[in-house]
Amino acid sequence: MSMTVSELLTDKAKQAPAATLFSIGSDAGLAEAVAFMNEKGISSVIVTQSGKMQSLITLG
Amino acid sequence: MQAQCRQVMKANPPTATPEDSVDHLRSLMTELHITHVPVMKADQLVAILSFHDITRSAIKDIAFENQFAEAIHQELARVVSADANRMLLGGSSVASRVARRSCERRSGSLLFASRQLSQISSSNSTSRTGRPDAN
Repeated sequence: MSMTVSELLTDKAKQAPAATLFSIGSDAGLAEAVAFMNEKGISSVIVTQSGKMQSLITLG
Repeated sequence: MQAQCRQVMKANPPTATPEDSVDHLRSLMTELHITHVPVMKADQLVAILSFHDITRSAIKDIAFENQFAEAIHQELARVVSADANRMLLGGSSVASRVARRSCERRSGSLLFASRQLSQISSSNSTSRTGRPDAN
């Protein structure tokens, strides 16, 4: 039987218990988003508008 | 003027739920050519999963399955060896000869038995016909 997303998240949490979800405003520039991801060492960032998720921007 | 995130982002991206299977998530990413999927629970964002996360999980599963298969192989070889010693030593069949040779050479592995069977079959056909089988 295939593993569930929930189980995968549990595994991931064991490896990185302090993982944080980062977000950036939709008005932010692309260069700013890329610099932000590089600074935080992450490959994706949530794009928000009025505090709600609109999309996500990824590296690669 | 540089582009803003909202100009390049794709609104309403595909999402997953904690109840989804990882196989489904993998298919979703592959079909849509995306590398990250937000995980939503009751309209709340709980995580982002990447293709890297899925790959890492798959590698872990494969390592476990390899260890499991190796343990089964060792146990099977042990059981077959014990059975061969107990049941076949007194017989005159090809299998008995294999068992005896295995005991003489202190080897009980399936691989060894398979090789011995092959050699015995070959020598049997040679002695019957005077030359090895064409097969």
